[in-house]
Amino acid sequence: MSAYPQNSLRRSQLYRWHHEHGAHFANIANLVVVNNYDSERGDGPGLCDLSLLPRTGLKGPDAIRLLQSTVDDTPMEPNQSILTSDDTRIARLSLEEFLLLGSVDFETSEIAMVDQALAATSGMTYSLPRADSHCLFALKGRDSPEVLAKLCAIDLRPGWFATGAVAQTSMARVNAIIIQHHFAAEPGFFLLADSASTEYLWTCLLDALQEFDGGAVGLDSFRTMQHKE
Amino acid sequence: MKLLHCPLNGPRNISEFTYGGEVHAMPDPDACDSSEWAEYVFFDDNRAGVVTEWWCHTATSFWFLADRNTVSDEIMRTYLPAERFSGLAAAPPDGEPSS
Amino acid sequence: MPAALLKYALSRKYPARHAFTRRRDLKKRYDVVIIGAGGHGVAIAYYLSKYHGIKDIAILDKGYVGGGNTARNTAVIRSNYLTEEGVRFYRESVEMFQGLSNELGFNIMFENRGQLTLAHSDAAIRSFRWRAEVNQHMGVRSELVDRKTIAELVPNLNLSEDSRFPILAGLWHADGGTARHDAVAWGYASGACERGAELHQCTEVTGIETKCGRIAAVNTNRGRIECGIAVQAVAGMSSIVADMAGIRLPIHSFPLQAMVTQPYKPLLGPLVSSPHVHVYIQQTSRGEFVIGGGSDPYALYNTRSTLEMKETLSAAILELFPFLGQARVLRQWAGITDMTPDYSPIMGESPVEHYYLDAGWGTWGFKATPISGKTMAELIATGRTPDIIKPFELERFYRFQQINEAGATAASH
Ligand SMILES: Cc1cc2nc3c(=O)[nH]c(=O)nc-3n(C[C@H](O)[C@H](O)[C@H](O)COP(=O)(O)OP(=O)(O)OC[C@H]3O[C@@H](n4cnc5c(N)ncnc54)[C@H](O)[C@@H]3O)c2cc1C
Repeated sequence: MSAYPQNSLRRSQLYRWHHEHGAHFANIANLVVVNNYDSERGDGPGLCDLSLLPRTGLKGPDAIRLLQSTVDDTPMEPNQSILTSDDTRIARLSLEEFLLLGSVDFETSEIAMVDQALAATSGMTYSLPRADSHCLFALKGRDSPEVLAKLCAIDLRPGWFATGAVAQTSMARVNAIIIQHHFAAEPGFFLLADSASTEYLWTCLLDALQEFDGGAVGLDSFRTMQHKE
Repeated sequence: MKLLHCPLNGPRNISEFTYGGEVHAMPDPDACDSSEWAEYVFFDDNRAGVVTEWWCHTATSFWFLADRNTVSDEIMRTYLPAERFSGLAAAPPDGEPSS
Repeated sequence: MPAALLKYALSRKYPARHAFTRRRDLKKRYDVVIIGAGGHGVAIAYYLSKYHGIKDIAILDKGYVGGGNTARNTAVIRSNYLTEEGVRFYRESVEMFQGLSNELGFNIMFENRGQLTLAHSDAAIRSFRWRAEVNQHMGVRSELVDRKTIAELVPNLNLSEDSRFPILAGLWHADGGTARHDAVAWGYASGACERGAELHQCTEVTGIETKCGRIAAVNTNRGRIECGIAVQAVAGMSSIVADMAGIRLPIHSFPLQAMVTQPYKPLLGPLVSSPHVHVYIQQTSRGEFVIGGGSDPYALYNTRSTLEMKETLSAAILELFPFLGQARVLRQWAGITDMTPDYSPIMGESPVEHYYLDAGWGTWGFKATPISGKTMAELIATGRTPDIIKPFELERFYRFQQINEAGATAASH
């Protein structure tokens, strides 16, 4: 069953691109996402548009307290992230700012819990969800550090860029947040950038992927990985 | 490319930063006259030599100070504003990248 | 070498002509000392000696004549600014350029090519419409043009709608042009020297003496000279020289870089600039493409070239002219530009009596060389600030009356 992004309010900015490239859409909780494309890459690295993935963020002197009272673990230092037992990625962007990304199966409860706590709090913390303001992509596969090396000056190879490390930097000349993450067994990165650059960055990344026989992938690619395990 | 050491993010290409200009002491807006204020807003020392400047890491909107030689373009030191302006919370994140 | 030619060269009947003052000692005193022998300094000397009968002039330069930004600039000449004050001022300069070869008896190779500025956003179109209105009102030829007209004006421009920042419209400035920058300095300098002004190269001003708030003397690496009047025209070094006279300026010095490709047959008539992708280009009469953009991102007194700028300029120019992907870059260079907060110059009196400022020329001062020389000479000779430069006095910052040309300057210079 294929969903039609045109009929849904919650669709990625890239839905036209997906549609033109043979995407098969699915509907997850009123979000229209790509399951797969007619022709998907073979073994090369994959780029997935996760712009609709549930996420939230918070900033302020009391952000750390709010977070500690809601989730069981928080990253200690700026530019580090941790994975909660709920598979939520919590990145610490500065001393007082945090970003939470839901798991790629779109089944996270922690995001909603933090949002509830944010709505209820009277402390010095405010919400900075980077949901509509930012696009979110996943890049995965062994070669993904090399792919990003074409666009970004930070050395993202495993020896230099630890699991869960965060880099806020320039990627293809736009500001981006890069978060190391293992998608099941596959190493990779979450990439966030200003939504105004969504199409531009998507094209740049696909261009960089060509050299490595990579391309766009849908959410099925995460599911099959889990099955393989 | 030239590197600048960001107190929050570690060494980065200087193109990731926004230059914020010389650090000037602000006159008391209630006490000073309009020409003092004009000089504060528009004028610069524009010295050739080591100067203290504002810099911002654009990707994180993180402001800090740098001592830089405007002739050799050597960056002597970068540090948190708290070091110079008392009253600001001293929040010393580790200078090294966190990996 | 044929013998006849050798004989001709050695003949007393045809002595070598020295355009500039030959090296000689500095006098103890001059009526007027001009600090800086860039286009502006030598133009001031020219108009003083030719039109005001003031000939006891020393023009001092720490390097050589026209070796500063005058030698480094990309020679965009235009008057399509935004403010009335700006348009009036630059319009007269462009008109002076048109007759300058005749005036100087020296070919400065002015070419009226027209200049096209590109809009890639609705906001830019609105500001272009505004500029066109002001320009037309002031008698300057500017008009908003559509994509079809742009295609006719510049057939090899990339007008694809698939580019990252498609071109929506343009500001066509028929009065725009270019000239041989070195020739402008040489023409003015030789004209001034012919009339008695002394040009002293390799003479660096190291200190300025004032007495009772009035200019008294300048110190140089070749000794001290007294003067009745002094004027500084030192571009990127403006703050440093002014500081010698105890004057603080609203100026910050930034490098501005440019680069040039190998020569091609004539392909591009008009000068083209895009404030949005931050690049501008023109083809010189030698056939090279001169490519420039915005200032360096931070202040510096250092004329190094950066790989980053080469990359940025290349990326931007390929958006506009993809065929340049084949071109090779021959040279890249930088000049130190004296940037003001409002992108307008600072001309006229200073807090020191009889010490005048010709500064704040930033990335836009070459085109103003004739008018600045003429008006500064008039100020020096008469003590009265000509109306046309009155708005550019240093005083304007204390009155909070800036003349904002930032938008009309960005990446067009
Ligand atoms: C890359 C680049 C591109 C540009 N493009 C354009 C353009 O397209 N159109 C435009 O209109 N403008 C342009 N400009 C700006 C323009 O070049 C300048 O505004 C203009 O040339 C300034 O002329 P000037 O005579 O005042 O200064 P300069 O030509 O720089 O002359 C100043 C002189 O002062 C001397 N000097 C400095 N300190 C001392 C001292 N202590 N003692 C003695 N002498 C001293 C220097 O040696 C120098 O020769 C550009 C500038 C650059 C760098």
